Amino acid sequence: MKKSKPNTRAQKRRKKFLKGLRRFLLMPVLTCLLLFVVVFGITTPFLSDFFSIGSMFLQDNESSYSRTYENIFSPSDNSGDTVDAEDVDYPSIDKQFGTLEIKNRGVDAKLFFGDGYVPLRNGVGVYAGSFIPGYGKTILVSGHNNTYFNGLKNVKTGDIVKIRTSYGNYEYQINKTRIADANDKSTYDLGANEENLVMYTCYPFDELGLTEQRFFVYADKISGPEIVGIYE
Amino acid sequence: MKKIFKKLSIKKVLYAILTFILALCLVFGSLITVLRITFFNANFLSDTLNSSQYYKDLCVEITDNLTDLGDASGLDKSFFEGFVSEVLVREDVQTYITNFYEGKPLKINTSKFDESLQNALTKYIKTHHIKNVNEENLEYFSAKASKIYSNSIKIKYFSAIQDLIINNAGLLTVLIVILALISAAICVILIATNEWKHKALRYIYTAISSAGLFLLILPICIFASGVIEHIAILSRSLSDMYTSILSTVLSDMIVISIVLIVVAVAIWVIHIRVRKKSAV
Repeated sequence: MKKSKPNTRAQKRRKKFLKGLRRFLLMPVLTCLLLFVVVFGITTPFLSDFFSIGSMFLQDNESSYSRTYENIFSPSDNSGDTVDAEDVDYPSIDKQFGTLEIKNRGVDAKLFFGDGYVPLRNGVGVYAGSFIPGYGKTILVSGHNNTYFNGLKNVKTGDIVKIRTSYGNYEYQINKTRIADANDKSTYDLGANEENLVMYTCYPFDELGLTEQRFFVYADKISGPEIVGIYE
Repeated sequence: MKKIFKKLSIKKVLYAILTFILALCLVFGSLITVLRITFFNANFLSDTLNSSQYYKDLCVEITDNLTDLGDASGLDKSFFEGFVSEVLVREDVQTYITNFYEGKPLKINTSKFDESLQNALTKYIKTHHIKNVNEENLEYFSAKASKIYSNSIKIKYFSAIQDLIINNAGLLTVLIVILALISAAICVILIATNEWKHKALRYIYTAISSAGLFLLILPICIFASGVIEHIAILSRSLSDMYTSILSTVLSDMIVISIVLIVVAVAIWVIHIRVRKKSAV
């Protein structure tokens, strides 16, 4: 069908308006779209590394700078022989998951996973490269000697250490103490196949300044549920 | 289709290409200008830090880190309360920025901090009647405290780009001038070679307005995506600083885009007047 030519004044005015609008809006928008294509085409080879590195600095949630920590500990009455691995809420770094107490020796602290600033500000912490109670391995716990582990200076062989977690209550008996250099790797064995508790703090106690010696307390497990079904 | 090709003369295609090159020059010129007046400008960083919460947050962070060290060193938690002076922190950060942009070594002079720490320790030992002080342990503590302070003053990740900024600041200025000259030359060519001046003005309008739209849409998309709020930096002061820098860079882009759009609209108005005149 042949398109009819605009014959009325109104039609002519409308056509002129549309032409003007096309030039005023459509051309800049189309050119802008083309610019996006060309600019990104030109810069992508140079910026791809920048973008991939930049994406590592992004997270799903907005950053939180709250100084509070998460507590997943709720007292349990399980002092039995076993606990299923499925029932164990494995703690993540900086979370409180239990308490550690040595009666009459001045040690009663919140137990955290990890031994960074958050745990040691608020209690004592299990080294993340060791194990939590119930795994049948070494539990390496540290704390500051002028705060939560100051009481370690009072402990004696035979004292009982109580660890409470949400999945069970554990008892360990202290069998020896030792003073060693901070870098002495013979002070603990993370590959041990028997559950044992190693607690350490800076030594000498109540000394001003950073010391290079550590005070170690060793304890063997005497009761508490073993975590079963870990590898299933 | 045939009709469209018939309408497109070589001249029109050339003008379209020139218009697009002009738009590209304006976009790259504006982006480089934003970089030059922000990242490559020492005053920009100082102003951004002054107008953000950076110094306040940094003092809190240094105090927290020193308190943690104090916990491990037998000091009361109150020892470092109010110890970190914001004035000293500002002074040291400012020196760091100056050295950074002058290409000098980025070493922090901690002598003032060390001196006040020694004075505070002497006072603490005296007031707490501590008699057995192991000088070696105390020196080890002081050295660690000094390191915490100097590491906090350094602006993280910036040292990695110092060479890039020092070596390329001049190059950016040259690039801006070159792009401005190319843009001016294209405008002259469009006006001088076009029989109808209003058409030349329309090409220039298209280039400027599309560059303006580009520079408006890009930062709006980045702001709307929420990327800035999701930057994973554990330090609040650093996060504040990088967020402020990015926001300022994007805001500058928006300002430039608005200027371009206003200029484009003015050119459109002139274009209509010129067209009306030439029609008469």
